[in-house]
Amino acid sequence: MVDIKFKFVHAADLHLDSPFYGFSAESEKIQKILRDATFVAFDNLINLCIEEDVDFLVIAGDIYDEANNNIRGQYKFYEGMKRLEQNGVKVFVSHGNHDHLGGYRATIKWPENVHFFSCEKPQEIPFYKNGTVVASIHGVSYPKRDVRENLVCDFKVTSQDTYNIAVVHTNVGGRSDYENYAPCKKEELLKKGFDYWALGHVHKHEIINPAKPVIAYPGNTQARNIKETGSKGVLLVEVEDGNTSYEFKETQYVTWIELKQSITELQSGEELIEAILKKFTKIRPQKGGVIARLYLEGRGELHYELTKKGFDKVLLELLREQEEVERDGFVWVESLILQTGLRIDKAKYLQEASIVGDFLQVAGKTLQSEEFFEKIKKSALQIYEDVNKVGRYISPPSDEELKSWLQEAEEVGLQYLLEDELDAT
Amino acid sequence: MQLKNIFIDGFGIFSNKKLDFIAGLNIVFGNNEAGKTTLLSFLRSMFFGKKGAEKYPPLSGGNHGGIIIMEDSRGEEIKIERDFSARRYIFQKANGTVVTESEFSKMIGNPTETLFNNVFCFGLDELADFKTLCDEEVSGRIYSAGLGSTKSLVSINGEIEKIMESIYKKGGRKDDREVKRIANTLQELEFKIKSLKEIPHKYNELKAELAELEEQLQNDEEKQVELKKEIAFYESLLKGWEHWLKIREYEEKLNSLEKIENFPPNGLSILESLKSQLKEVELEIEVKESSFRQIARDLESLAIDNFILENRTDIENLKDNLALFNENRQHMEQLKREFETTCSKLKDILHNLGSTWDEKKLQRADVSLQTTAEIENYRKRFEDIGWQKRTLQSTIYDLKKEKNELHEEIQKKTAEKDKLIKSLVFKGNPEEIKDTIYRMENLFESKKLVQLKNENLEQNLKILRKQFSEYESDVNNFKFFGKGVKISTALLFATIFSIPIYLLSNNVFYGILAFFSGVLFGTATVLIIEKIITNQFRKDKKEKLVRLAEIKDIIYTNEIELEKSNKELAAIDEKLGKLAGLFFQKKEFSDEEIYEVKRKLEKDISTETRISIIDDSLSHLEKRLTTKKREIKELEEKIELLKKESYSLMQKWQDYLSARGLPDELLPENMGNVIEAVKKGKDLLEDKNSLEKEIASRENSIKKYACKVSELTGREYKIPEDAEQITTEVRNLQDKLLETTELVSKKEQLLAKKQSAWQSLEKEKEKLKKINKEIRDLFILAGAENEESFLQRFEIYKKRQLFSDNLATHTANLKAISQGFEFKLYKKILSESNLTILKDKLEKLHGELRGLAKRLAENRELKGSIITRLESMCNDEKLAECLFKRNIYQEKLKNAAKKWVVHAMAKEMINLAKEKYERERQPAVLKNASRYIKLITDGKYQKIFSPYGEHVLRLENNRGKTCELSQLSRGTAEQLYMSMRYALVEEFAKRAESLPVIMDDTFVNFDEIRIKRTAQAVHELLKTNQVLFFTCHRHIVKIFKDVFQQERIHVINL
Repeated sequence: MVDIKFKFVHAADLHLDSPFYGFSAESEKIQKILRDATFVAFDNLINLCIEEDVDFLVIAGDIYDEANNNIRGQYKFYEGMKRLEQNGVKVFVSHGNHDHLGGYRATIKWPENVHFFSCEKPQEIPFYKNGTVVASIHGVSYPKRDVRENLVCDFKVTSQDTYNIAVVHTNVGGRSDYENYAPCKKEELLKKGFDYWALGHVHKHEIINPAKPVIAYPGNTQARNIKETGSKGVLLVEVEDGNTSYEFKETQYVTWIELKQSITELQSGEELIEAILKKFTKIRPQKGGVIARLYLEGRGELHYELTKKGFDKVLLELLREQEEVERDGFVWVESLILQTGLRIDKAKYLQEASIVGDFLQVAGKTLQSEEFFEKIKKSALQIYEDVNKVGRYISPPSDEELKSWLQEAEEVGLQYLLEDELDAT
Repeated sequence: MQLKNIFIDGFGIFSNKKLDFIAGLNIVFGNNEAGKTTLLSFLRSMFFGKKGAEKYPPLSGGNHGGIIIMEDSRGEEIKIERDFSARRYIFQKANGTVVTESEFSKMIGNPTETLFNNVFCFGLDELADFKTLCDEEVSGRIYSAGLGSTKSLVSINGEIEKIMESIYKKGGRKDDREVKRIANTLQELEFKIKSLKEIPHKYNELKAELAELEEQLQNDEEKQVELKKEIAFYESLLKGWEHWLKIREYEEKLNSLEKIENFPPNGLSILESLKSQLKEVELEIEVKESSFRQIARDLESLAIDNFILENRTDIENLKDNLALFNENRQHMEQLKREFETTCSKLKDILHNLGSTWDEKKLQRADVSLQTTAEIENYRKRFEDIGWQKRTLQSTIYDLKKEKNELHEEIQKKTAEKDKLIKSLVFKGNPEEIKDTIYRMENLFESKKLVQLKNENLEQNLKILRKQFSEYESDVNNFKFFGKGVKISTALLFATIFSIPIYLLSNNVFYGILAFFSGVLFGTATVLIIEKIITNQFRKDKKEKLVRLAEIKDIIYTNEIELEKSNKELAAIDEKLGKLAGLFFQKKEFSDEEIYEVKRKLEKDISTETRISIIDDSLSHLEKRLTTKKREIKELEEKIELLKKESYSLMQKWQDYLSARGLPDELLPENMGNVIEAVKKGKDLLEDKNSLEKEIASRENSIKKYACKVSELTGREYKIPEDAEQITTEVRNLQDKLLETTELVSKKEQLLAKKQSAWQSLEKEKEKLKKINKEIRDLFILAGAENEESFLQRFEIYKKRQLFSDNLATHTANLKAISQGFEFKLYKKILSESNLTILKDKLEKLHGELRGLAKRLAENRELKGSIITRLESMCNDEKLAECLFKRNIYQEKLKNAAKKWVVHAMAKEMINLAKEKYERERQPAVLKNASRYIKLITDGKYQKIFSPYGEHVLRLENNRGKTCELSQLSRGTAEQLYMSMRYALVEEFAKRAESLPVIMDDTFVNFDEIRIKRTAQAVHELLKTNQVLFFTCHRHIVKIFKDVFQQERIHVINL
């Protein structure tokens, strides 16, 4: 193998200009920040390539969402590629399900440093450094969105004298939380004789195999919903004498964080605010910002304040007001989820021969008995049958989700049943 | 909450009416039209306002209204005051705090008026008509009694439904609920997104259009360049046309002239200049020949004296030495005088030194530095010895003086010592004395301690003895009442008893009897007291005797101790006596005598000490005296040695003098003068010799000078007579030499001038030859034979030159104009064209260019606008914004739907719970009601229940049979309703302030037994509530009185 040292960056799932999900705040300011977040992350990626003086960049699909007929995303991508061309960085791109070749494409004359892999068969492109082929980059693009066949089968190493990199958008091991596009198995990848499998599709960073070959998902460059918590970025890879070392580099502008705060020990709203702000200082980032989903949980005095007296809205407004989202280091509460309960002894009520006791028994039974659940579910999900107002925009919750809602319903019911008692206290 | 008093200001038949109530059962009795129903209405109106009050305007005067005073379970009063006509009311606590009506309502458990009228305050009408109880609200209350709340499940359902409806409701055209609003926004967004998604396709179309446009633009731009080039070509042809015509003209002219290709450049002017040069040179030659001849003549006329020239060196020497010659002459006399003076001075010195001294000896005499130093050395040594001798003598004198002083001090000290020895008392051994004093001191110390101890012991003994005697007397004197006391006490008692008895009974016998019995009693009393006290004191005495024995023991021990101490004291005194006896021959000593001995001993010791100090200083002084004596002896020896040294030095000095032939008697200190004189003599002798030499040398020099002058003048001179003449002669010779030398230099200059004149003449002649040759060469070059033909050729050549210059100028201009084009082609086209053709062509080309430029401008503008549109498409955020918003609204919709679902589920579960509750548990109300019916019917009916899903009541009898209401007699049915009401009242009392229960003759349909039992039920109800019972039946009042047995019952007669 040729022993010239070289460096490259492995990125995937940039999803440029595609919107964030599961976000319901109406603030225009924060919407603008989130809309631009994928671009900031992309700039961070380009800056990383330039600062680290890498030889090339490989992108394993989903640069933008073709479904959005996205020109802005493609154009910004083009600008990034121009910058890399000026800095002598080559780019190899495999398209994935979101940016498949069958989808819309803005007519753009790409700079010469960028190579897009075709969709017929895996292509092999040699990479020259100082007049020698130091690496061979293999890749294939999706011809359409719904690729269910195994694309990895056709990847072949032609020469063992060079460092072989495979770039492909695939679901290794058929993960259920991702669409099962171009599925393949880890064992297959291990056997193929490649040195590095640059994968895309899975948004969570994961090293599937640490060495010989390296099989890695860098994850997406910017998280776009609350499920995508934690750091987001790309892999900076360095090859010397055929040995691969890699390092995860963050690119995201905003980070999603789930924050939990119990109200059990708290007596007043001030105490709650203080406790939350204390948590904020711990998660406040140096650069960019944090989008936090704040879960209030536990049984306590404050439950009643929060649910009946509208303190939840005041709290949310207060927490948002004190943040300057235009600057680095903001923590913005995206939503406040109440999972709190009344400070009551449920066990005591359960044993009581009262309507409250019976209510608690019914609630418990609904969670446990399929029959009860189905009964409740039928009447509760009526709303989703209204196609015009609801059904065409959102789908009904899963049973699992509905069960978690049931617990909330239990608290709501309890609160009504015990309202006077609570008012008196 | 109970009713305490009411005051009716004006209501129906009542005015200014006051009633008081108790906490228990209040029976308001009155015949028909006594105002029972009016009172009932007054109470209802007071609680709930004027609704019912309108029917009862104040008929007997007073304001329409009144006051009721209530008392809550904590004993706090609350006043309700209403004025129905003025629609004023006030709820006020005893402390003056005003409460609102709703606060009051809450306090009493939020009963509605319906509820109050049906459950708390009812007459026969309400009782018999159970519809009122079947009212949704009341039935809800039955179940909510198990709810722990005053709220009904019905209202809870209502509240939840309200929330759900605020979120979503199916159908509805004018629906502006949350979900609908969100759905509308989403629909709008979808529509916008759809249209925005068209833009990308337009982008690609525009891009294609742009590419096409760019290609056309490029073609047109190329064409424009070509055209501009062609126009430039024709414009330059037109510009060069004039030049082209001139070129052709000059070409023709040149062809018509003879071809003279070469002609010397500037030939004519060169010829002219050569000719003028020729003339100049010829003139010069003439001038130079005449000047040469003149120089030759001047040379011949010069005459020079050769003798003077030959002796030139001698004459110059004489001139130089003339001053010296005269100086020598003058100096000679002075030298001779100096010489004589020196000779006479020398003679004097020799005479002074002595007859033995002549010039020769003087010359030989040694007065060198070495000799002087040696003599100085001798002098110093003599002086040194003398000084040492003097120093030593003075030291010896001092020492002898000190020796005598020491001697005197020794004698003084010896005398002092003798005097001290005589003053000693005991003359004993000092060590022995010291030891004795020490032992005496020790003994005195011991004695003092023993004496102190003795004193303490004696003191102790004194105290102890005193204590002992006190105790002893205590013990011995112990006795209580003496016989006298006993008797007098007995008598005292007797008297006290007997006198009043005697006085009261007026009977002596009684008095006596009383007296004796008094004596007996008194004696007995005293004896008993004495016995008690004696027992106590006996115990004390025993303790005191023990203590006494203890003190006695201590006294004994102390006495022995004292005796021992006294013996010790005697032993010490004996020892002291013995010690004193060592120095004084006496047997007995008093303390003072011993002290005296001790003091004398101490004095002796101090005298001994002083003697030993004097001894020390004496031995020291004697040592010093011996040292001094030794030192004096040593110094005297040293003086002897110095004397010897002085003598030997004098011997050496005399030897030194004789060795230098100097008189013996001379002392080193006188030698200085002799040496000085010899040195002077020697200097004079030297001066004399040098003067002699100088005189001879100067005479010789004068003679030589005179000889030389003679040689040159040929005359003889005598010195010093002819000295002045010699000077004159020498000056003459010098003048002559100067003159001759000038002539010689003039001749040399002329000769050089002659030579240079000759050379310059020759040069001019060469020049002439050269010029002539140049002229010939010029002709040859011009191809001419003579000057005439030369000039003709020159004219032709000049013309040709002019033509070709013009030709070249025009050609150059044309070339400049045609720059950028191929010149050959250019010329070809010119030769083939004429002016009109060219102009026409140019006009045509300009037309074409204008058309092209217009098209280009249009297309460029179009391109610009396309690019702008494309750029704005690339940076357009609208689609992203809408997509984002769509997600947000979807999330909002999810949240709203969730809220709806959660509430729907809560509602559903509450309903399920209610069903379960109704099914599985009869409400407490029914249970309580069952208890009441059982009581009232004496167990005939056991249970009231409400079947699941039906809002009706059923009754179960003691045989387990279920009866519907319709099957019951009126009385039993009323009893059932009554039971239900009591049960509800009881339930309410659990959660809020209990209200008074007011019944208006509700028992009229009950038989006597059931009335009695109902009264018992009322008694039961009193546990929680106050009861007001209105009736016009005396038997009912009686039954109540029987059942209550006057307890907690209050009858008010209206």
